[in-house]
Amino acid sequence: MDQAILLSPTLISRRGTPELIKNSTVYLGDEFCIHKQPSYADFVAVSKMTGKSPVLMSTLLTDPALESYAGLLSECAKKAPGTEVVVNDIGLLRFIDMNYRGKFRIILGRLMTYFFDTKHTRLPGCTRPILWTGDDSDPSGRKVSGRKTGLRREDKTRKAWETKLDATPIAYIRDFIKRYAVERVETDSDYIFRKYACNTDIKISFYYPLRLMAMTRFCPFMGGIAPRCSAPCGTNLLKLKTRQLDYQLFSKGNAYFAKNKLVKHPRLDRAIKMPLTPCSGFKPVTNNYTCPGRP
Amino acid sequence: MRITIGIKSLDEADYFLHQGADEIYFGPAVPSHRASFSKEKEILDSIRLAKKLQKKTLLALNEIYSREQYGFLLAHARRLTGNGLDGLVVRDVALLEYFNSEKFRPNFVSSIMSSCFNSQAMKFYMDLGVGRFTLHSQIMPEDAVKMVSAAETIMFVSCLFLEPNIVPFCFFTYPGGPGASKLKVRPCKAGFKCGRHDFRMLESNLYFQAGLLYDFHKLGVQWLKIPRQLNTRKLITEFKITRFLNLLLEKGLDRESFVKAVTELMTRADLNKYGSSYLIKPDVDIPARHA
Repeated sequence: MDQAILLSPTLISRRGTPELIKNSTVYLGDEFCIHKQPSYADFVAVSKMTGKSPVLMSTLLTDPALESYAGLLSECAKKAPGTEVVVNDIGLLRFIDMNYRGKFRIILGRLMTYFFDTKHTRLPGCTRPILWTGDDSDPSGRKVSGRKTGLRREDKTRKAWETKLDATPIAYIRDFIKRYAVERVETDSDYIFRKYACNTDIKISFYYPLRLMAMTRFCPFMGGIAPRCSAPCGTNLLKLKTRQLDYQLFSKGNAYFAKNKLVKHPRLDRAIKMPLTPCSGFKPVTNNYTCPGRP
Repeated sequence: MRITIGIKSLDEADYFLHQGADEIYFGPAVPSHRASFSKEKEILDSIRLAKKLQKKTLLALNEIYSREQYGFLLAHARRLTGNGLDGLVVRDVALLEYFNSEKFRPNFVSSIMSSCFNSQAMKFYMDLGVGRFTLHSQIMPEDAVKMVSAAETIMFVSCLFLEPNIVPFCFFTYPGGPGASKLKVRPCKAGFKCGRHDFRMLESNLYFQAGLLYDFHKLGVQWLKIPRQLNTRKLITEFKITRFLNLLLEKGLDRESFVKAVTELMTRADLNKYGSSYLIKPDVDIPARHA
């Protein structure tokens, strides 16, 4: 099994980074922040440091961010064809498919696999599958008599994810993987991992020790949606305490996480670790960008 | 801009269409959640009413559905379009492909859940027949220039709906839900401690939100959207605010005056007094048509 580590471009030149990487495959970039997307210079720097090409990360990209990313792809297509790209934006996937098909090895990132299975991503015990039942028809449109109307909890006679809302049919996903020549899928959800492991033969990666709970562009380190950023968040992990949630919540960069254990499964092909530095004394920044004090 | 509003009953359709909404949208007749019609006949009556008033109607199928539901959804949507429904709000790419394969191509409108953040993502959906796009509430005007020029676009009224987190990638449950049994407000509104400091998930304020609304209007966004909600009294107030702000925009107010007007109006309206949008308020009577 391959071991990989997430590395923000701002950390490349920091002391201690080579020790952090050791022999791991480097995932260069960020899945949640457009300001931490890699440049070609970052790509070259990591290649020199480790002796092998890093995997390129990406997030949901705005048009300006996509234009910058296109510059990186253009360089890599010429000088490092075959580089792995983690795609987390359906627009980026289309862009690569239209312009660079066969030039990159495509990985569907965890946002893309969540995109297909939105509600089955909660913590164990926090799933709330709902079946869709109506006045006089079941979901396939057949007439049903004597059935109580309205929403019902999971019908235990129907197993498998395909009977639930918010789970894209596996036949479609298989076709999608083939159509876009996807070589690997990634997730931090045990449920989604098993879905792909049981139904496809594609390579699967798993993220740990945190799983995503929410992402945002309102960055607590920058005080809102910042037009530019020098990534003061680094690898800082904020532990957020409340008695109201039954699980521990963390903030890192501009995303929120819960703890996650590395899945144990024979199909696990790559484990991707997020480097963390516990940070105890953080005061959120406000009034910088999205909370102006006057018009 | 034109106003589109999510409704859940024929009474609401009647009220909002007569009060100036340009379009109503609603969930399927078999409820996927409680902010929905319960009978197809009510939907058909709403479509008929909208047609009579020369307004538009959309069916919102903005969930991801299982394969076994496709046939039912197609038949339901076909019956409604056959009776004058103008289009479908969608997010499920697999369902869109299914509709295409069945040669069912009404006007498709992308939901905020489609996570369209750029014009390339729009092209992905355009290839599947989508012609109108809901801009994500965390896209800034300077990011959206290409998107707005590429197709007809919808924006949420920023001072009424600007989620702190990005949907569909927010997996927190509602208060009282699994994992959040002691939670009184949504996690994005809850107070946390980080070390000795207070911590809240960062939001924007009214000045910022009002500026967004103004800038997107200038950019050329065509539609203002008010989302469906269970709390009818709040929905009515949000509609009135939207209609008023839209009038100000159409009148060509300058940015600073508009921002001031929004902050004053929102402070005076104090939407907090209505409670959360997901609270069921069944006791609310829809005001008389010309109230």
